Amino acid sequence: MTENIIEAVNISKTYGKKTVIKPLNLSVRKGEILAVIGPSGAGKSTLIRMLDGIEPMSSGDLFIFGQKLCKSSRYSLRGRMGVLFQKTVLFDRSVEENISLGLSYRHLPSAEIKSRTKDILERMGMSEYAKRSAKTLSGGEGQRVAFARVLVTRPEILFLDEPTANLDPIATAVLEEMILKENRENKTTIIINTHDQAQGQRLADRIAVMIDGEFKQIDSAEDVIYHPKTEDAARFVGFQNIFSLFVVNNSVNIGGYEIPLPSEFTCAEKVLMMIRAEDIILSKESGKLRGTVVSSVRRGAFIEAGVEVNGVMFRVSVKFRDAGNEFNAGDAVYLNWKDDAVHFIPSC
Amino acid sequence: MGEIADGFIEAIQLLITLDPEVTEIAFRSLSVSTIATLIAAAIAIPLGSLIYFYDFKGKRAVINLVQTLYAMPTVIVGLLVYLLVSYSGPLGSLRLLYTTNAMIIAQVILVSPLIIGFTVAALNSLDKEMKYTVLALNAKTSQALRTLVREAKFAILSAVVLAFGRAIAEVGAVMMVGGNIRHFTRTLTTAITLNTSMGEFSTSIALGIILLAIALIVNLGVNVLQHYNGGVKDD
Repeated sequence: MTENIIEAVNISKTYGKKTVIKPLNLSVRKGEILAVIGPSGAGKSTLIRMLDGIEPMSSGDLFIFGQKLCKSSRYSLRGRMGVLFQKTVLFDRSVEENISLGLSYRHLPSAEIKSRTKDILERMGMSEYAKRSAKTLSGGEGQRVAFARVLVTRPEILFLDEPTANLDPIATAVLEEMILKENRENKTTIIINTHDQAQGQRLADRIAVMIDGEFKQIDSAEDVIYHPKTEDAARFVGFQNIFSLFVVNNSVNIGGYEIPLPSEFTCAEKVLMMIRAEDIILSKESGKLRGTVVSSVRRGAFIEAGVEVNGVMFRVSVKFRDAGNEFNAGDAVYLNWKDDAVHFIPSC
Repeated sequence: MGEIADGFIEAIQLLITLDPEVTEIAFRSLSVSTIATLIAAAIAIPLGSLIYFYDFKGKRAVINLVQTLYAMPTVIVGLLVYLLVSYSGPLGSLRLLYTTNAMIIAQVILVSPLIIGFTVAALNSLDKEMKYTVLALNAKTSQALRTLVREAKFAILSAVVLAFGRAIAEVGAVMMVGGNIRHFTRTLTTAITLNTSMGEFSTSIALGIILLAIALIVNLGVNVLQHYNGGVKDD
């Protein structure tokens, strides 16, 4: 229990009859970055508030720094943690006063408050903002001030709730770099909520997929993206082709093409076969399956096509640059994929 | 008609010449209601913020009760305070009956619910994430409340100004516990009541003009505060 900086055992949250977080377990190692990904409303924000002791748990036990979180320890534990909320809250005061708020709550000597505030403003490249009213800042600047306000308290655990949800791509990149820097330089343990799986992949050592108040999978970024363990986790990380297939002679048949199953599935009756839309290659000449393009929509640099093969519908995504105008509705095409692009899980 | 017109002219004269009795009454009214409002604010703002901050059983009922008390009849407050401070009442030994202190007590009771209710409402209108942010920055309850009240200051201040308006315009309670004693507990409202019943319209009109002017200033104050409040929220 002492190795993990956060150890949650069966923690849950219900509001009246509504269950927001089903009993779940979570272990976080010191110094790691864990991304919690999942759609809006999955319970990610509630989880962070519970871990920080702001939201009382409905059941379960939570150990932070090896100490049980309860009414008497909550205040001192929270003092070693920090939260950056999705919605930037700035107080109607100067930037400087906003940043030093957490330090004055802790009754630090004013000289230290001053020097720490000055340091963090310099580190963030915001020294000239010190005296400005926080209400006059832009969204990105405001978020940086809110981040500075958390960092200045030197948290050992940092919770970030959708920190870039309201930022433009450049501001997002800047903030992501700051997050990684904080983790590298101060060994800060970071838990970041995001609905953006790519962001989770960029930042995190491990990713937890949260859907409907449950962890569907906690794994390395690689495994979560390429080897999802449940159907809804697969859909969330972008698997558009998921087929439920019967197992016959240790293999499955998809649209007339037979695929042998890995050994662990030989006893299964049914499996889910999944393949990403962008892992399917279209060809005019030859391939595993022959079908007909039924729809073709251009989406940015990609074409998203629906291809029907003997009654089975495949979603395919190809680069417009590669495909040009070759694949239009009604055209006959061949589907191809690399063997390792196909992923199987047991079907229930 | 002539009587009313004469009353107006005489009233203006009383105001321009700063008639000693009229100014005395006006200042007494202002000071009694100002002190009462300040005491009420000192009690009601912390109380209101505690009600906002904690989730407890019956919270909704408490808020409903407070809101019901907004419309508490002033004579009921008068009766209550009269019973409290009358010579045989629990506070009888303090000899408060027919003093400005009794009037202050009555007005404090009268306007406190208003300030409590509006403080709860003002804090509730802050972002929920603001409370979370303050807590996450490791504020103790008292520190959190101070920060949040400061953020809602314009809305809370306008509640205080409104409370002052209710206090100074009130007549029933101060009449009952103050007794409308000349040079001692007579206020704008009790003086108007008395003078009107005696047919002294000019004094009544002069005092009425002062009361209206105060109401106007109060209303302006609330407007200015609400403008600031809105301005801050709009970002």
